[in-house]
Amino acid sequence: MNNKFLVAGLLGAIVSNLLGYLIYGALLAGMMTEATMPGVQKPMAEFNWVFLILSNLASGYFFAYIFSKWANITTFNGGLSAGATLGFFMAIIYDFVYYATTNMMSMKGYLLDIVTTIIISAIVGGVVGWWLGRGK
Amino acid sequence: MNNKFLLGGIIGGVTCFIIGYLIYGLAIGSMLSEGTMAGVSKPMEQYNWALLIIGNLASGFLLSYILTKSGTLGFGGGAMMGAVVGLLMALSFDCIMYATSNMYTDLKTVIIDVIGYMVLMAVGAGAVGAYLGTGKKA
Repeated sequence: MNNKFLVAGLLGAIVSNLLGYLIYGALLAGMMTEATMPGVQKPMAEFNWVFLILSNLASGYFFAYIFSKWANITTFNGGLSAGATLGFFMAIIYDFVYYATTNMMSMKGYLLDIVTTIIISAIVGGVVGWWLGRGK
Repeated sequence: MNNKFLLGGIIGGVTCFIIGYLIYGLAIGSMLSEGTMAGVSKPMEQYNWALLIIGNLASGFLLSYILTKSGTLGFGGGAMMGAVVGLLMALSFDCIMYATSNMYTDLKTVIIDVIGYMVLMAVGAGAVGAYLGTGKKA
C-alpha cells in the first residue's frame, strides 16, 4: 500500500460519487423511482451522507486494490475495459439476486441499473488505471 | 478466456450458491429478515431460481476473472483475495442502500450482511483458486 494506491482509490471514489449523482440523482431519477417499490427510496434530504461517501470509497478502493495488487493495470484503456468487465459481473450478481429474492424493483429498473453500473465502473476503472500508470 | 477460466467460474458459481444457501438461507436469514423493510424480501417459494443461479454464476465468473488475471493459485491465496473483494463489494452496495433507502432498518443488519458476503466470497474464491492451482506449483 503506497501513496499512489491511496490517491487512486480516492480518485475512484470521487468519480464514482460524481457519476452516481449525475446518473442516478439526475438523469435516471424519475425512471428508477417509478421502478422501485413504494417507500423503499429515501428522499435526498434524508440521505445518510457518511454512508454514501463510505460506499463510494469502498468502490474506489475495490478498483484500486484489484488493479494495483493483482492485475497490474496502469492505463486508462486497460482500466476502462477491466472496469466494465468487473461492473458487468457485479451488476449481474446484485441485480439478479435481488430480483430473484426481493420485491424491491421491476426488471426494467434492474436492467437500467446494470447498464449504468457498467458505464460508471468503466469510467472509474479508467481513471484509476490512468492514475496508477502516471509517471511510468 | 480459456477452459480453465470457464470451469473455474462454474466451480465458483456452484460454491457461492451452496455457501450462499448455508449463510443466507440458514445461518443469518432470520436476522436479515428482521432488519429488512417489511414486504421487500420474497418468501423462498416465490424465488426466481433461474436468475438466482445466473447471479451466483456471475459471482463465480467474477472471481475466476480476477484470479485468472492476477495468476492467483491455491485455496489460501484465492480465499484472501475473495475476502477483500467481498468486503469492498458488500461495503459499497450495503452502505449505499443504507444511505439512500429504507431497505435496511438498522446498521446491525448491514454489518451482518457485509460479514456474510465476505465469508461467501472468500470460500468461493478459495474454491476457484484451488481449482486453478491444480497441476501447478503455487
